[in-house]
Amino acid sequence: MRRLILSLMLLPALALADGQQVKLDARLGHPSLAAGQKHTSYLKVGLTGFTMEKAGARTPVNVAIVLDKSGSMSGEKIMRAKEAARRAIDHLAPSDIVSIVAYDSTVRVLVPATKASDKETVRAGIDRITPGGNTALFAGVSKGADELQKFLDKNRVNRVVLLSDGLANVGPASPGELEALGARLARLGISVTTLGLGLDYNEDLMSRLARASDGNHVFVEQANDLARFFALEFGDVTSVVARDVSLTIDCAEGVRPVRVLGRDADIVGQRVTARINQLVSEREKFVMLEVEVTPGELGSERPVAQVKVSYGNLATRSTDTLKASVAARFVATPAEMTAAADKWVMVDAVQLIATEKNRMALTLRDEGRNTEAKQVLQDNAVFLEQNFQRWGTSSLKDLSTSNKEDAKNLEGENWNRQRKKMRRVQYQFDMQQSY
Amino acid sequence: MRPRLLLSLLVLVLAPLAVLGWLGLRVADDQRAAVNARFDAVVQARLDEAADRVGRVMSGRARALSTALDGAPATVAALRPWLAGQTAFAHMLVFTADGDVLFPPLTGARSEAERLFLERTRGLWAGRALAATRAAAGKDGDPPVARDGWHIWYWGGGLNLLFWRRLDDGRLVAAELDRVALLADVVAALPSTQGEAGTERTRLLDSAGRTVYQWGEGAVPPTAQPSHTRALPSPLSAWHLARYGDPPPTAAGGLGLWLGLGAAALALIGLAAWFWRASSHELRLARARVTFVNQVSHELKTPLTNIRMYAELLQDELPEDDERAQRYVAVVAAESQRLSRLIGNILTFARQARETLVLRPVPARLDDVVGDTLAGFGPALAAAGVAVQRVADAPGRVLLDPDLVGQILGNLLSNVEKYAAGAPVRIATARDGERLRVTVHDGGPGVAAAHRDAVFQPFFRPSNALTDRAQGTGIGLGLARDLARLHGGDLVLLPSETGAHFEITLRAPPAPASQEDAL
Repeated sequence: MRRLILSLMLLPALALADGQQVKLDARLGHPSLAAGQKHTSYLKVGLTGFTMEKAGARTPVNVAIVLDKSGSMSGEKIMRAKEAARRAIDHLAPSDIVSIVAYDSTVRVLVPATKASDKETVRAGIDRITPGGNTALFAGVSKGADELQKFLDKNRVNRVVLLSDGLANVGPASPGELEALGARLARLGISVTTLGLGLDYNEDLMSRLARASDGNHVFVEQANDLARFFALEFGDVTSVVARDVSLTIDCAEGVRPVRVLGRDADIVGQRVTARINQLVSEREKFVMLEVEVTPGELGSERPVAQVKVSYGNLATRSTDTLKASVAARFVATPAEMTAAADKWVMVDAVQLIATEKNRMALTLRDEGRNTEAKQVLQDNAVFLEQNFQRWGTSSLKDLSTSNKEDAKNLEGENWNRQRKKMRRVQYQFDMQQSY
Repeated sequence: MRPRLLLSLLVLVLAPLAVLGWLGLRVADDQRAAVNARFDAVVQARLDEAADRVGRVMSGRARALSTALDGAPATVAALRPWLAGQTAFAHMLVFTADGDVLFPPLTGARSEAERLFLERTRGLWAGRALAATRAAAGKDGDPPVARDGWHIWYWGGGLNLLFWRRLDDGRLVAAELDRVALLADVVAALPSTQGEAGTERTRLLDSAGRTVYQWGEGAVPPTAQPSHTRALPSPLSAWHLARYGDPPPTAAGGLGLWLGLGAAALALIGLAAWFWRASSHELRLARARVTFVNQVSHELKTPLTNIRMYAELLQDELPEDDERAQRYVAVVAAESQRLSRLIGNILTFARQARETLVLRPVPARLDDVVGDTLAGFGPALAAAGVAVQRVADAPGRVLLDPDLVGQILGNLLSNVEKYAAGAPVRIATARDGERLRVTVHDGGPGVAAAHRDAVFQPFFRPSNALTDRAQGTGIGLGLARDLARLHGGDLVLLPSETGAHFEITLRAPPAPASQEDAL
């Protein structure tokens, strides 16, 4: 890492090659549809971040580390958190901007937004943290975002990294309100990553805050894992290559957009719009649209959708536009249709459907309908197992196992931990989190 | 004497201390009030500054929204992507000039978010409520109507804000300022906690009185009342800032004051102690003088008694015809008698001062006692040319102190000898049961009515040409009256046209019969 930083210092903003483009990949789960029938299929619009051509080149970042220092963080937790934050600073290049905010009942801006070249000041700020008090999470994130806004730049990765081990209890504290805050920050080009530490944080609040701003969300059960997750997060932050990705999918006549799995999207008539805050190098993020296709004539080919993507290219610092169109062919039998199904689209769709079921089971469990929840999870595991048999992808097998495990832990003292794990896994699949 | 001195010294110390203390407290009060007023001003200024910051955020938002809304495209199709690109707001209402909703479309294709937005703003567009309150233009002659501004409405448990603007083409547009987004901006604008220790805390309370943000190190008990409050500027005037914490203590000023008071108290107490010591010294000195005189008089008494006794023996034994010797001895006897009275007076006075004077009654006849005393004074009175006229009318033996009665009468006769020379004196006794009466009426110049009481005061002598020549201790009459009172009676100066007319009254029970028989 240190070598990367050095080389970045030596090679400032050289003109980057024109070939640096996000890869757009729009495909239908069933490119061949049985004629004469109405079908439900999945349209996947995948976007893969490119690799920075210059070795070590990366997008400068503007990051605010917001640490919960409430009384519950005392002891090992705060010690590990400080250590993790201190080490995370090492990932930053001198041109990066960093700020440190700590909150309990009130907020302290320990290090106002400053160039990461002055790492001693930043570390000294981290060292000043002493735990005690309540949890003014909303204000902490707001102040962190305020520090980011001092140097808010479209060509930087603007991110709040929030670590909390507790419930918000000063100021706005409901998941809905924090979600609205996330949405507001997303509009400003800021994403919020939430690291939930231990077993006492509000996973709904933390995951919704992250989701609304397209950040990451992690469940860190043990404080000694913090350093690893901070490193992963900073790896994610420092490999962003595209920002403000907006997707427009115009469905053709005879194709009804039903819903988007996992992500939030707007469906107005035939048009579907969705936003992805940022794309990471060599990682795919996608929008999975469920469509209903009206019956077609055998042998005919019909357009399904026109896809338009625009995004801010952080390598060239320009706004790029990509287009793609998706069509379907009508074949004679359902067997032909199944045989021609697109494996990777279907695997991703299955994972998202299973995630949705998992989320449903969690809601049922919250309502006290444990038996139903258990049934949903067991059915989900079977559904995933069947698809594993069909597609042979180990991730499906893993997810099936995970659902079985969830089904076993709906009762008793494991539930709190399990619920956090479920939220984390749901988030991972919905948002295609890089870690 | 002593308690009164003590009391006056206490007053001397306490009165100025009380005045000083009261003044000091007044000064301290004034000082505290001044400090509090200054402190109030500082705190209020800080709250004003915080409120102003929020005000600046809001006016900045208003300016940005006003500019942004001017660029709102005309068609629904163009509005959606335009809206998606806005950073300041996520939803907006567009009305035609007539007040009909143009966007989000009430019918036809719309997103879920648009549907929810329409639902929560129903109160604003149903019945053209917003359009009606933000009328396009006034009638001719009316003052110009504002083109844009905030619109507050309450929904979902709190205050919500719209920024509305009347566009040039007559459309009315209104952008929704998400409450949480607004709150995030307000929080960002307000101060954060600084420093490591403090006792104050400021809270931002929303329209329902909930704490939405707070800063400052001080802990606030749940029941605490804010010391200062300040409403946020419009449109957030339903929110207010509340500052908790006590004003800083004014210990320094108070300490100085109490030190000053303490010093004054010490000085006063020192002064009082000095006075006390000085007066004690004088008293001790006076007592020592009395004691000395008393001791000397005691020493004189024994030889004087001897002189008197031998002078009287000599008088008896000298041949009658040796006139010269007789005359000399008579003078020695008379003078020694006078001296012994004087000493008796001094000793009595000293005993009285020590309150050790006691009555020693013995059975005796008043007329005998008066006769004995007159006999002693005989030569002296004769020498002064005073003729004695006696009326003795107090028969019977009573219990009385002959020495004491002799001393009273002796003092009166001594005065007669000194002041009423050359005129007869009339001495009468009377008895009425237990009450005995002796009157001494001389033919001297008498006592002026104004001095009738004063003559009994110790060391008083009426000043006039006659008395100035006479010698005396000035304690005789006062002592005589005190002795008469000790004997259950009194000594008074009766009004008289000529000379001084004294009346001695005594109380003396009759002597028991057995004692009378024995004599």
